[in-house]
Amino acid sequence: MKRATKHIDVLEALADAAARSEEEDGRSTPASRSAALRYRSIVSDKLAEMRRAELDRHGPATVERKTIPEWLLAMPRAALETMLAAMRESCPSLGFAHRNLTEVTDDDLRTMIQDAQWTMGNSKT
Amino acid sequence: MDDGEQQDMTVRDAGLRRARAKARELVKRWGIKAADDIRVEAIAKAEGLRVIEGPLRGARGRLSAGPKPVIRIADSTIDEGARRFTIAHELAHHLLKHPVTCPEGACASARAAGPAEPNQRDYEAEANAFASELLLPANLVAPRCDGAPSLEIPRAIAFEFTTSIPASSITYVHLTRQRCAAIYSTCGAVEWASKGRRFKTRFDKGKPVLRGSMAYDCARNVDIDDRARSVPANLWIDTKEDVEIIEHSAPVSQVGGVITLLWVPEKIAARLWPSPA
Repeated sequence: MKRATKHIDVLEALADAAARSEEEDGRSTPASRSAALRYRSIVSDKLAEMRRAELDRHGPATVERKTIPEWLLAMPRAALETMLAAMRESCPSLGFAHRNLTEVTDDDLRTMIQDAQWTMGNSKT
Repeated sequence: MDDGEQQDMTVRDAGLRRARAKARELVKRWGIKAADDIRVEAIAKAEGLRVIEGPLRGARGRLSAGPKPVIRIADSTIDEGARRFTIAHELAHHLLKHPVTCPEGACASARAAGPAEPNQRDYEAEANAFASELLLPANLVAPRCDGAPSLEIPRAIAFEFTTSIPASSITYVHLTRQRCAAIYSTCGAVEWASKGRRFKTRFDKGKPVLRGSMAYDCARNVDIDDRARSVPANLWIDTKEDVEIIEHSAPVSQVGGVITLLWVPEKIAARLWPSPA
């Protein structure tokens, strides 16, 4: 477990324990309820801040722009289908899900192969 | 939710509920407390996905699932809100472990064209529900839903959360206390519609948009005043009552469609949808 995640878990456990203790033993007053709300808000904000910082630690998010390589552009549809089928056979967990799928063009088949190579870890770029 | 509700829930509804819950889990996981915190590309990366933008003609986005999953977004998608929605949608297929390995290669999108089947999972709808909840978290958007309904509210939400106006309109009609529906039409017919629980009329795909409505004029590029206005209820709702409802329609730039927000004020609702005796 990473240190930051561990800290978050400890904070959450403490907050839960405090809430349980209040629920079981405490006689709440307007002042204690108000203090509890303040405490909850502080803990919640602190946790969120730590989680956002954890997201930053994954490095800058980039959307990579890619074109279809020449060697794929040179391949006809039948060859592309054969190649994709072979990739599926060698990597059974390989699969695709589309959003608003209308058709699979020749270039879409080419980019399926291109993406599949990255997915299977077979491409350096 | 009580036992009765649980029993009434269809397989489709249960899947949608799980998808929204997963998105809320992510909102908590990544400390999202404000619109600016919703960094969907960073979340995708942290969840182990690579995001690529490039040629893609037959779809808006695609998940390549496997050991090192890749999301591809079509480079023709110019609208930033639509791009973010596509990334969140494909992230949903990955996190919800939707089936993607059947021979035709697009199991998760297979139902897209047919009608909703209550006793089957609807993977596309689940991915959309997840994306909506992640990009427009209910607890952050709900406080922005007060006031007289008009497209100005979804527009403000879309601006703040960097989402599309149609996506923001869907979230708005579900969160507002008013009786509202959002309708998206293309070529003079309803493409899809989404309504709040208290809006009792359904709009099926293909229903024609009638002359006299603001949406009809928008589709024909008629120069109209861009604000909510009263229109006869029977332009949209099957009724013999001579009453008016509020419509605000506007063209959706770059896509060629029209988004419509309908609002049935309370005093009109009783005449349009009388309670069963």
